[in-house]
Amino acid sequence: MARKDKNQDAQQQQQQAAAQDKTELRGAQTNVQDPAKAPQASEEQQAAQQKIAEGSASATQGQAKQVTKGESASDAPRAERDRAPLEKQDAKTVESQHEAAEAAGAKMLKVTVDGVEVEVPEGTLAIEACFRAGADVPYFCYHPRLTSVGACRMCLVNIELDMFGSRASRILTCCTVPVTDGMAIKTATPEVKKAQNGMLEFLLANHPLDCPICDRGGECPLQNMTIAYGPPTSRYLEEKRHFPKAMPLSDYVVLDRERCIQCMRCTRFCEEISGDGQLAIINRGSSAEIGTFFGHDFSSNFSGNTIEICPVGALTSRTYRFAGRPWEIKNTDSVCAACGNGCNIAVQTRLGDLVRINGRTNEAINEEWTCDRGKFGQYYVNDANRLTTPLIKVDGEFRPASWDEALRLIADRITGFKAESGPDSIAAIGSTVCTVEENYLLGKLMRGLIGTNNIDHQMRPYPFVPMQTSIAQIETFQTIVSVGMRLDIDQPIVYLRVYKAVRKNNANWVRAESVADAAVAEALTKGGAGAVLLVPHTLEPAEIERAQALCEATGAKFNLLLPDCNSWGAPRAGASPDLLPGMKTFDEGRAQVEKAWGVSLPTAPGRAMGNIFGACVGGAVRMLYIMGANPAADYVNADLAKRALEAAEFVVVQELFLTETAKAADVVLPAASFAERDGTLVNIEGREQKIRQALNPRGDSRPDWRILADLMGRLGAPAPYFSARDVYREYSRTIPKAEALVAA
Amino acid sequence: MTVSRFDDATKARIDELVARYPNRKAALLPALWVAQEVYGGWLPEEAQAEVADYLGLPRAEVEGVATFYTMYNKKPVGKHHIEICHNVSCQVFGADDLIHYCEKKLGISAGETTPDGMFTLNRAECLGACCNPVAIQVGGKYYEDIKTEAQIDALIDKLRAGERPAFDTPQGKLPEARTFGRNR
Repeated sequence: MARKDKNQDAQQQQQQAAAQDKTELRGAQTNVQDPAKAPQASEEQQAAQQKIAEGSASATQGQAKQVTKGESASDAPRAERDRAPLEKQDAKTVESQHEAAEAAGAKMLKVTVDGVEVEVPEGTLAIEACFRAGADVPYFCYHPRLTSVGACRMCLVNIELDMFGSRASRILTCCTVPVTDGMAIKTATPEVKKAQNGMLEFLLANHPLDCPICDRGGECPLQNMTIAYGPPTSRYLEEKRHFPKAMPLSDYVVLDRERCIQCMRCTRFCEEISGDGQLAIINRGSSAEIGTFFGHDFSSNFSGNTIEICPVGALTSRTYRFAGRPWEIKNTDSVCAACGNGCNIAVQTRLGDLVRINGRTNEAINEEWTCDRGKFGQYYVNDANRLTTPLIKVDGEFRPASWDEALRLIADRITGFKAESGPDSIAAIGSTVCTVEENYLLGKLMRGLIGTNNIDHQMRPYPFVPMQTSIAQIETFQTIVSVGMRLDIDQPIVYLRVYKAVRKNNANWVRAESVADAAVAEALTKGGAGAVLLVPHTLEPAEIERAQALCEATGAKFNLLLPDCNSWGAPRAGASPDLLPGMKTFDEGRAQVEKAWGVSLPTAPGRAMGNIFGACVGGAVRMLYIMGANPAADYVNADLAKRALEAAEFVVVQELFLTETAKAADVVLPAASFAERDGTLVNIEGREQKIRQALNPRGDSRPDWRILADLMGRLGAPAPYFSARDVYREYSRTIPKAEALVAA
Repeated sequence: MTVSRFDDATKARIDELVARYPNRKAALLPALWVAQEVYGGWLPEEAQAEVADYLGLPRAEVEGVATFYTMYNKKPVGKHHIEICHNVSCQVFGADDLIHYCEKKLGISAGETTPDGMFTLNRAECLGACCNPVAIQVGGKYYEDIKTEAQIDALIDKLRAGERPAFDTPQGKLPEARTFGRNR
């Protein structure tokens, strides 16, 4: 307490605090003499302190908070710090975890933080109680989804608790201390602040302080905490430790070892969340550093998350490197379009370019993680090779055209084919990566305007079997069987849940090549209702049926995992020969759809994908309208698709790039990417989520729904859509309302 | 990975070690000792990878452990790895002088290996033989009560001649891991 301060006020406060400490010490001594009186004594003491501070002993909880603030304000004037988004997110995560624990019937303990009493479930860490009480505690290594290690020592606070029969108060790292009933935490005493200040000085001893050239600058916890808690200068004048800067760990992640504070968040993430353990602390003591095994590639599919949880600029993104500053970036909440899991992401843009994709918290799906495919795999949005103008093929060569010219040509040909050989000579291919709105409009174009049911979207045949569990529920199963896929690549977020079950609940994860493997039946039989079977859509239909039968026989849950971001949305929107919007069969949905559209629906059965291609080759289908699909590469029988594209007289393709399919087209229309349009995606669980426009469409490209609406207008039908929301509103009117919004 | 150097006997030894612990991870330290012996006194990348794969651990974790402990050699060592204790007892009895003498005699600094690959000289932290300073460890075998340069000469000559000099003491009874060196 003998620290010399220029500020006289500060000295006075310290003296006060020292006096307080003494009374506390005396209190502790009496406790030792008579443990039974302990709680009473401390309560009296607290009340007395409150009296001194505020002159009022009758304090309700809210007032008590004010009292404490008054106290700490008199101890040291400190403005309420503006919490960084990352901290707010952590506090929110803790809150939801506590609510879940409370709902599960955990024992609740009473803890006092700076005079505010909070109730938290048993097993809570003291730092989490601080969050709940709204107290401000600095931390780096603590993360609500990782185990505590107390590596950074930053969250030192004064904790007073009953231990071994007496009440003691200590400066402790609150991220490693589980709460006990009656614990009292003080986060703002001069003693605590001195400890925190000293810790920051230690952490900064070897930190290069190169914030001006650091990507993390502006959103860096170390920077924020240093401003709020740190010393303005350092007593460490010796040479800092040096490493070569910017060492690439992989194509996506760069490591700067000088900036690292060894909080071990990344190594714990690799060990506990992604389960591949690719990062570890190498060497020890002052030469400890983060590294992969002998510098090999950091090949984890979840490596990008370590960038986001790094509390300093040690791990940074190679794709985002020097691409922008946090305060220049426009943030748009959206949903990932890379696979069917439907991770919530923040699309971050600057000057009309996508610069970064970060994870966003959704406890039901991705918690806060994303995979590398979602985080780094969507820069195609910025690609210079994107189509920016409609193209019309003349004599085997594409030439740029205006939208008016292209759409007029398409409308003319549609009218022509319809008049010459009937509406069934036209077929459309919907998309599992376009939104519900777009697939709905394509369906409406085909069924309502042209009058044919020739529309499909499946690149291989698979049944529409909804998942029997949600993604989040997977982590509660004791037996998890996955067949024929690399879960961490094909269904990354499902994999994280599976690994969580393995790690936290000691679940048995069986990986098999085929459903016929003896291990599958064995595990499912043993697991019974506590087992879940994860099956990819790529299995043969017979295999899928077999898997389903196996689950029915054993009582296990059956989850067919579809591949794309809107694999469920396409059939829901009606881009399927036998299904109307809302996945209704014609018997169920005809009346409703006819009423909503004001037309009578075609009665001839539609052609499924293989049949469409077969009919193209045979000549029955003369025109193909393809939206956001690349059957020449993706269709299960790509050869047939290619022959069909050649045989069809007129092919229209809406695409981002000149794909193999687009090259075979007669008219190519440039479409907007997922970051450039609004819409609805349905994830593998059947959960509807909105994507939002973050950028203006590249060049002259347009969202698919806009292209279709324009075309419908040119075909003489009113298409009164000014936004994707208008389309969605109409779509939800064609199906019973309750079903439009419900998640499966 | 290059060809495995764990033969059946090595694997049997590791299996025996694993059986002593509740899980495979716990056998990492003794398994690294076995690997160090199999790979000629140090732990190259292949050795660490082989241990990791055999125990079913992430490779990075094994490297983390191997680099944490200084007694796992991360660089190749000579045929005879001479480690001279320089902690309190030994230092009082002239360990530093002996180390300097050794450096001069072998023509290398502590931490280096002679060009012919015969000797590696290292300073060691307390070898736990404070009763008989100065303590020297050569490849897991202890030589204690070494006080004079003549004794060092004798030791190095005998090592060079391929003999195992008889300086053995009661401290020779050591935990199993330490005796790995004897089998070489």
